[in-house]
Amino acid sequence: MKNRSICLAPGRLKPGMLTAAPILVRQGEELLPANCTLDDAMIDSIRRRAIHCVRVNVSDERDQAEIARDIATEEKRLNYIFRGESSEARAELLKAMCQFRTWQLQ
Amino acid sequence: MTPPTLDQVLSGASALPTLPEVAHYIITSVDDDTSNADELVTLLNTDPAIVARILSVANSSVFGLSSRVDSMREAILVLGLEEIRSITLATAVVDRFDMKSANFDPRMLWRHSIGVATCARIIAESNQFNAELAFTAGLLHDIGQLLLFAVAPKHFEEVLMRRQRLDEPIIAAEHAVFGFDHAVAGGELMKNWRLPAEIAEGILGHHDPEQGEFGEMGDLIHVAEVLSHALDLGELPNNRVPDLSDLACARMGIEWPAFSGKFAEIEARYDEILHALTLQQ
Repeated sequence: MKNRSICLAPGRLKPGMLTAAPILVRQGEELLPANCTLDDAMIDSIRRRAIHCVRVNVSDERDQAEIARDIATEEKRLNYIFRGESSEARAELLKAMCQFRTWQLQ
Repeated sequence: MTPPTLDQVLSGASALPTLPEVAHYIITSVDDDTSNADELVTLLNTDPAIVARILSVANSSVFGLSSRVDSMREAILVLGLEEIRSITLATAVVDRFDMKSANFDPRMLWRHSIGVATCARIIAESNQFNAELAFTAGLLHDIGQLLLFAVAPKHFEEVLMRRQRLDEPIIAAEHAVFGFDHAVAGGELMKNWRLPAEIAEGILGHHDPEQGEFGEMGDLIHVAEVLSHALDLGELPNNRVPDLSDLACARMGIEWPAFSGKFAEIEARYDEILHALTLQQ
């Protein structure tokens, strides 16, 4: 089974989750390394600092076909919400959104 | 029946509930270096509804702390002043402006407003702007819609139906019905309420930052609003990303490939505040 990383607010963390990237505090100092299994004390410590987003690994049971379907659904939604004429900046934003959603769903 | 003029709408602003004193303090003290946590605690403690909400948030599973938070002072220590100010302000406005009708759901408007406020805060942080002022302007950016709804509910419902029927931007529907739009109504209301000028500028400029002198905040709230729609925050039915001003993006120095590194953080922070306010869908 493969993993994918997602970004969670500290309030959504649960014991047993695995960090996907080092957790840094405001001064750039490392609070926890990547691949660290979170426990209650660590989560408490994260919540008591001004950390807004923690990247954790979650298991991903989807096969390639399902991933492709998810990406296609998301692209369809993006094309719908970006309907109508676009300025250059809006077109660039759409491109960035497509790349972000693809990265998020892979 | 003829729709009210802008002056009539503004003179009917008393139809809107007033903001509690603590919310006024938060908004007007953003730039005040002499404001402090003690003063905020004293004011917070005069509003039992807000105290109850903050303690409930601090002790909820969203923050899930191991020890219990029993006082405002402790809540500030645990959650941080920035979080307390955001929750207080959002709670104050969401709870006070709870008007609804068959076609207008203020909860949906608040989910959208919190999305814009979150985007505004993170864009401001990246540009060394005042992030708290940006959050407030984002939170209040559509208050003109509430004002139009409070003063002229039938005409505002006509706006909503027209927008849905013709799939046109709300600004166009408002111009067709009222002859002016919610950005102007909201911006003027902020001036009447004597809130900081930047908040009024952010509201006045959020749909058309190139039309007038709305400063950095006009550009910022415009970009934040478009980004919030693009990220589908609030999942508005018939969501449509408004047009984005090339000039505002250039003035803000926003380059989407680089800024997209913040998208995941925006979604996480939005989710957290929505959860804290029990506004999730």
